Amino acid sequence: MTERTILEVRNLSKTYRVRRSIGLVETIEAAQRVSFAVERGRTLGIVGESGSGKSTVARCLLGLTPLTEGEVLLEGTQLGDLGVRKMRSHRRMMQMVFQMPQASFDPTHTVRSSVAQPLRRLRPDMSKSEQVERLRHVLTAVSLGEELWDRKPRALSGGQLQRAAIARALAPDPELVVLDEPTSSLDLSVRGDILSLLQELQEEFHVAFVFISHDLEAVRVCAHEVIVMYLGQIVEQGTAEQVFGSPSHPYTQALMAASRFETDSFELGPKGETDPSSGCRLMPRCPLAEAACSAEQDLVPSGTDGRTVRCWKVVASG
Amino acid sequence: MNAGPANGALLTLSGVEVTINTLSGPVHPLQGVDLEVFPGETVGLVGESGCGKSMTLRSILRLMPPGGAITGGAVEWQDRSVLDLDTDELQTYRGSDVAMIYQNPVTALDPMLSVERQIVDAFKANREVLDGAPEEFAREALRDLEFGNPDAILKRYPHQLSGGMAQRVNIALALACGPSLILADEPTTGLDMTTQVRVLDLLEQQVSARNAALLFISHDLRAVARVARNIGIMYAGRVVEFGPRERILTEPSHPYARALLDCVDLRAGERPRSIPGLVPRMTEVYQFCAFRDRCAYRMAVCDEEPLPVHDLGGRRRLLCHLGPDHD
Repeated sequence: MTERTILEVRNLSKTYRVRRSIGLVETIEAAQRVSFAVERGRTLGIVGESGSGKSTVARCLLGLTPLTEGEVLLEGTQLGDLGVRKMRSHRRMMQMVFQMPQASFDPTHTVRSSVAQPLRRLRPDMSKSEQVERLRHVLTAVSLGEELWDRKPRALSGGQLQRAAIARALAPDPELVVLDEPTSSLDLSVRGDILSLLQELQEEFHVAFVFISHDLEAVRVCAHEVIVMYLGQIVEQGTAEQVFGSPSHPYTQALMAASRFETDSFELGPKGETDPSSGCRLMPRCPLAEAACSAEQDLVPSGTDGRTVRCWKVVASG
Repeated sequence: MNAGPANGALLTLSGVEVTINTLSGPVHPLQGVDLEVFPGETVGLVGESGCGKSMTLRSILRLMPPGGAITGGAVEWQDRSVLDLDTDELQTYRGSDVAMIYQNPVTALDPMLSVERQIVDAFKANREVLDGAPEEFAREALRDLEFGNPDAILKRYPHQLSGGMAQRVNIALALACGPSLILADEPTTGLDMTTQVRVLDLLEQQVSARNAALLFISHDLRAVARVARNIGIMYAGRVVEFGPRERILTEPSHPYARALLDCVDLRAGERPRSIPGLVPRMTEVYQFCAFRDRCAYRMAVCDEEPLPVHDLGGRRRLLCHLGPDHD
C-alpha cells in the first residue's frame, strides 16, 4: 500500500444463500477473493456481464452488505471494524452514483434539497453558510443550469438529473465515488457529456472513481486501471491501455468483440445455466477450452507488462 | 392474395401524425412519418428516447396509448388501409400479418402461464387448422431458437427464464402465426452485450428463413447496423434520413445523423462527443426543422421555410435544407 492508495480491497469474498425450494438452499459465490487498490484521483474500471459480481463488489465497498471474507481498507482503516457511528463519519468519504437517475431522487423534493441532504447528514462540522456555499459550488461544477435547482426531478432530462446525482455524490467532499453504470440509461448523445464531465471533475476535486459498467467504450475513456470480472472472479487486471489495447484473456476478447457488435472474430458459447464447480469458470463457453482447463486457475502475472490474467493458456504463451 | 400497391411495398406509412391528449395538454409524438417496408427486407429505425420510434411501431398496429389517436396520414398494409380495418380484420392483421417483439422480454410474457401454454395458445389463436399436435409445434419453435432442451423450457414459467431465454421465447411467439412482418422494439436493450449479439443474429436468421420482413428499432446505432439493410434516422417525430446501411454508416447527409454517429464512436484519448442542447418535448407541432436549435449548419432558410423532402432514388430520402451534397 502506497501513500497515494485511498482504497484497498484484499481477498473480498461474498456468498449469498438462496433458497431454491423448501429444504434446498444453494450458495452463490457472487465475489471470490477479489483484490485491488485505487489511488487518489484515479479511476478503476470494473467490467463484466450481469452476474459477474460487479455490483456485489460495489455494495461491499460501500458497506451496504457485509463481506463474507476479506478486508476493505479506506485510507488504511478497515471498514468492517467500525461501529455504526464511526461508519457514518466514513460515509462522507465514499459516495455513490446510481444507474437510474430518475429512481435515485425523491420525486417530491427539489433538486437543491436532494443535493443538500448529504451535506446536512454527513457534514455537521460545516456551518450553515459553508454548506450553502458548498452546494452552490458542486451544482455549478456539474454545469447544471441554476434555473433547474428548484425544480422537481421530473422536470429534468436524464442527463441533467445524472449531473445532479454526481453533484450530490461530490457534495460532502468524498475521497471516492462509486459510479454504477452512470451512463447506461442515458441517450448516446449525452453519454459523451457525462464522461467528459467526470474527467473534469476528477481533475478539479481530486477524487477517485470506481467506474462500473458493461459499456466497455465508456470505461475505456475514463479508467486508468481496469478489472474484468466473470462469475465472481477477476479474470484480467491491468491498465486500461493494456486490457483494452491488447486484451489477452479469452473472456476480455469476447467482451470487446461483442461491445462493437463484431463477434465474427471471437464468440463465446451461450451463457450456461450452472457454473462449473472447479477449474476455469469460462470453460463451458470458451472456444479455446481443452482438458487442462478443468484444473483450478489462478490470477497470475502474464508476460512482462505487469498485468495479471486467470488463464493458463495465455500465461504459457507469454 | 393481394395484388399490393404499385410499388410492391408490404407496409407504407405516409405522413403519419399522432396526437396524445394529456392532463398538461396535447403532445405530438409523430409529426409526419414516411416509411416503407418491402417484403423480406430488414429496416432499422434509430433515434434518441422521445423521437417517436416506439410510437411509430404502435401506429402500425393501431395500438394507441390512452388519449392517443392517429390524427393524420395513412398506414397501408399492401393495398389496404390499416386505419379502416374493422375489429375482426384488425385481430387477424395483428399477429398473422404483423407481430411484435417488445423491449422487456419478461414482462411481455404472461407470468401465470407456462411457456408451452403461451406458445400453444398463440398457434391456436391464429391458425385455424394445424396438422399435428400444437405441443409438437411449440417444441419445434423452441428448437429453431436454439434451445438445447426444449421439453424442459416448455414446462417453465417466465420468472424461471433469463432475459436472453425469455426474449428467444418471445421471438418464437412472434413467429408462431407466420407473419410477413415482425416489429421489434429494442429487443435486446436490457440484455448482456454477449447475449445481445446472439439474440439479434438469431432473430435475423429466423426472420429471413421465413422470408418475413423485419422492422427493428433501437437507440443503439450499432445494434441496428448489425441487423438492418436499410436504416432510418428519426428525430422529433419524423424520419429525417433514410438509406442503405452502408451509406448511413459511412456518409450520412443529415447533420443529426452525423452527430449521432460521432457520439457512438468513442476513441480513447479523444474528448467524447455529444450533441449540445435538448431533445424537443413534442408539445408543439414543428413548422420548420425541429433540429435547427442544435444544428451546427443552421442557415437563414431553416427559420423561414418548412423542411423539404429530397427523394434521392435508391431508397434514399433526406429531410434537410442542406441537401445531400454538402460537406
